[in-house]
Amino acid sequence: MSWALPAVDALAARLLEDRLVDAVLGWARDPDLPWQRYPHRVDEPSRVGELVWDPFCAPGLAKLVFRMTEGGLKLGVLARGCDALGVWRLIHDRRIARENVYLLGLPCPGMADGVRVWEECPEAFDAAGWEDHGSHWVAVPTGIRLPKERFLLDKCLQCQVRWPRQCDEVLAVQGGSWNPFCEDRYRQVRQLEELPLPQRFDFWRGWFERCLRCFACRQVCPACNCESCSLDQFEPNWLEREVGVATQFIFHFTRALHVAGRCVDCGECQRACPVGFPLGALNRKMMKDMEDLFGVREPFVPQESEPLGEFALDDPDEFR
Amino acid sequence: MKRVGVFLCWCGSNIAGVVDMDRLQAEVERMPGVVHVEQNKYTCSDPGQESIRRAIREHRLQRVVVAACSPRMHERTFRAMMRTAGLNPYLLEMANLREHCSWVHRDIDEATAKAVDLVRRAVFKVRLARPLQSGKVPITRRALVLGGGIAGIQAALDLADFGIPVVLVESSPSLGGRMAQLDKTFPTLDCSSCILTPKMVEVATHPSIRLLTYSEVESVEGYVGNFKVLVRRKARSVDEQRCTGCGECLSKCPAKVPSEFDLGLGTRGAIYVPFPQAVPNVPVIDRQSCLYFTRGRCRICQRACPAGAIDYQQEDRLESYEVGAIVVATGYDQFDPAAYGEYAYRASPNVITGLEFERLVSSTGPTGGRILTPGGGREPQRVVFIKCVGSRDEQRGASYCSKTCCMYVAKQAILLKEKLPRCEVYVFYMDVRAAGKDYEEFYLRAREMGVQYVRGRVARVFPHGDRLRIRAEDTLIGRRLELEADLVVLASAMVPRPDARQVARKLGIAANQHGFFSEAHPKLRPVETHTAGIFLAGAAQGPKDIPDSVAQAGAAASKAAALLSRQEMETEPVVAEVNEHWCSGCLRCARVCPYNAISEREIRVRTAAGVRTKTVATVNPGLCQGCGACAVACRDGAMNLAGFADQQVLAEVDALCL
Amino acid sequence: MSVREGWRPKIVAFCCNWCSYAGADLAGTSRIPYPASVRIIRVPCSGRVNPVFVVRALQRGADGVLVAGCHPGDCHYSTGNLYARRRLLVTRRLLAYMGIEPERLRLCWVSASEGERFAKVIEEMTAVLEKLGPVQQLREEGPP
Repeated sequence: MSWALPAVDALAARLLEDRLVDAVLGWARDPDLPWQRYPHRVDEPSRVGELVWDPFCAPGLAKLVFRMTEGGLKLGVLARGCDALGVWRLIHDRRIARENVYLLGLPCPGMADGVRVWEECPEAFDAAGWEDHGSHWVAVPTGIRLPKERFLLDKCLQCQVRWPRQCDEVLAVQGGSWNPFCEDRYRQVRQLEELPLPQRFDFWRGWFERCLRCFACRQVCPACNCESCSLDQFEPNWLEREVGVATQFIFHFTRALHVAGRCVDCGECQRACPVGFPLGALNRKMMKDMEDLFGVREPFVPQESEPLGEFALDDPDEFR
Repeated sequence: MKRVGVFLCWCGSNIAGVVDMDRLQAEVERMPGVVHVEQNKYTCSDPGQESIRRAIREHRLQRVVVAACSPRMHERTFRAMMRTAGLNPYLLEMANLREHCSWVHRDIDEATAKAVDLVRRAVFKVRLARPLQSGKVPITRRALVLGGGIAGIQAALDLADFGIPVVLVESSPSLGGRMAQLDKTFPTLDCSSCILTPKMVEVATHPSIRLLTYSEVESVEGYVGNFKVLVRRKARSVDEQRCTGCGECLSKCPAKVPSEFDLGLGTRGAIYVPFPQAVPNVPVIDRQSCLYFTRGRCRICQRACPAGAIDYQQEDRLESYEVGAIVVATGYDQFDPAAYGEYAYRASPNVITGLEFERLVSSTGPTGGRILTPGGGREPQRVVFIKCVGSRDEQRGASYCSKTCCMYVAKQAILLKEKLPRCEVYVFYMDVRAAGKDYEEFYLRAREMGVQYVRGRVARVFPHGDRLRIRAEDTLIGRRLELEADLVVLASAMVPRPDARQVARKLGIAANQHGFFSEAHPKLRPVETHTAGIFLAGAAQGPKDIPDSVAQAGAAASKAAALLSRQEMETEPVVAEVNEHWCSGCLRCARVCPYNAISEREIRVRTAAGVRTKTVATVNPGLCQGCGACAVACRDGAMNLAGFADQQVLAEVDALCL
Repeated sequence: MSVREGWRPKIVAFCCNWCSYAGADLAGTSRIPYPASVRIIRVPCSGRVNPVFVVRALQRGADGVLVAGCHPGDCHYSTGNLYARRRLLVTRRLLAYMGIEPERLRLCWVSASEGERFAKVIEEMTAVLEKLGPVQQLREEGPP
């Protein structure tokens, strides 16, 4: 069985023909950069061939769904686990109307780091199609094998939602299996927690020095969907414009707290960051605390209620 | 920049004795926006206030800081002064130099440095203050009373006597509630019906009261002064207008089912009035047991009715009422002692609850007032009472004391002794709590009449032939006891009505861990709820006896009347505000609001792509109490609290950390 | 950075109007002395305290932040203090994770009748902060 791009196309076409949706959002090739796939929307059944589904579809779609459906457009979304959770984050935040999206679940085999593949094995991009062999992606018909251990995208390493959840329909394509690379999502968090406090600060301080405060992490994040970001406001000036350790601290502290209990762990923030700031280590810390302190199971799955908008009478009281 | 005046109060030597006022003044004069600083011996005095007014005029002050005592002491005083000086009262800020500084610190340098910070905080905050106006909301002059027991009856009558129109909603077919089921009342032993029935009749005939029995509240919307209540009037199958209450139908009905009013000790027909003194005296058809409704045949009552009042086609009707205040008096239920398997409540008909005993001893009860064992129908030779069944027992019942049991057990024991002087009466108790006027004397009277009070818990009750065997321990003398009795009465706890939590949710009021409705403050606001305009009366709030219920009902009625005596109401200006431009419409704020003060609304906004509608949060200032939880829940910073705005708190932080 | 001679810790305390601010008032009317390290900001409810206020104070020069509210179950607004507890628990852990001593943030329950308790809390916290010294992490001027 191949990776079944035709099945994806067929379903997308059917949705458009049946007018269940006005458009379908997926990915397309970049005409100039062979390793790049960018989000792409097709409005006509005849154009579903423009969509692509291969190991290089790195970008998350959820945040785009938000912008595209704002005007009432009904959108079919090719949704991997991370995309679906992101869309649900936006639905629970009342930023996407449930009836405006049709989630076409794509079981995901994990995505490859296109740049690295291009550097090490450019001929892989000649493939006509792909198969998922668990530990490898295999190109058809060339038979080139790409080991996931070497090429998996950082954000896919710790993924626990390869199987798309809460979708309207799940496509019977390869992928969606258990992720062998994800043994302990909180490993990095634990490592940091175990460092002595001054070294912990030094770790973050090093990253504060690199952070450009370009806000790319916020722009791609499905949980950062406010009409007006408090960090942009002048009155009150939650965050001063001056860039220093203290203000960088406040920026990252506020961002982490605002997504606490809401982050879907799609890893888009860190992927989008031009300096590679370990935003995931902040997000997962919040997740871990939601689990440890409030017993939230699977804190990355969006719920109608948020842990920080709730309380329990027997919440821990560890301030003594 | 706003022109700020700062008034430094010595409070005699209370402040000036510790804080170096001149050094403080020199520092304050350098603070941004401060155009005038002066010192007063007693700023709260008339001359002190007058000097502020003068300074406001002379220096054209726009903001005022009074650095004196705690705002909890004199903020009201100085706000009133602001008004007389022509400034908005909310353009004032106090710095607490007395309670938080001079009274707790001794070192002059430290205290002075702290005083400088405290004044700077006030200056920074007041510079960002905006004038706040209290809004006005109109008030609908009508009250809803929920529940037709003694508390509801009393509240309705008191309200009606204030001249306020009242809608009284009772879910059962008749007024009366639990009190109607009682035989006599402690400590006077007057007959419960004799004092209750006239009140029931008064309710039914009062021109200001609209009585809706066999009805339930479906939904409540709105807020203080402006509630919209939807009432479901359940189909009675009897036309209330036509029915004359002759009772012809009652005796003819062939169905026999256990009577709820007699707690299953007696029977009633499918068409019935719960008890002879019911108000209104209009029967109701219980469609579950009516032959016509279940099998399609019978119609005997229809034929028997001389007034043609039987209406099998009647359907539930929904009626809507607008009211300004609500009194919740939905009463209590009795704890089901089945949880105490060792007391054989399910196993023996001769083990009954206190309320069942009331029916057994009542002259309108199934035995006509003769005390007979439900199992054998004979007069008991010995009766055992067991107290605290379900009360004061966190494991199997509730942690609280049900408050009334000690007294009603004493009453029932006395009634037994009066009716059956030769009957032996034992009472097993943990403690006797007889706090209340004439209560202790009443309890002692029971003892004097020969009632045996035994301190200790009963371990087991088990049927033994046609009697009951009781195994217990007298803990005062540490002796095991075993005795036989014909009747065991369990003083089962008072618990909330099973639907109490649903009622709380409908009304938007809180209930405690047991399900009793929560008052706004246990001491200072005992009849109000956290939701403005909703008041509590009777045992729905917690176990209560009749005098307490009546007193609370009167208090709730007068609170409601005070509210409804006004045409409109001023709202507190310290309320949450929405910046609609920033609001994302996620409504997280609404979820944390304890007062249901936040709802959503659609607005039209102009964007680059043209005009579109968006959902935003909107605050009802009539409901908002100004806690600010919503402002923190809001990530956009679109929700803010007037008087404690984000920018103000941040400025205060900055001021203190300089 | 060495601790300056004569350095004294500074605590910014957010006190809810109904319980803790009144508790601090009671400490005053009862003349219970406590260290002059604390500066109180009056808020309607501990639930009004945004975690960002806490970091802001630490950034601007406070060495510790105290949030004081009504005891659980006694909140004037029923539940505000319980929301505060969750938010500040998470805040404190995040601070520690990012390298700020968690002892610098304390949440405590002080009722209107607990003047003595308020004084004791300030004493304890002052002692803790004296050991920790000033917040060094967030005090550097200019770009990092």
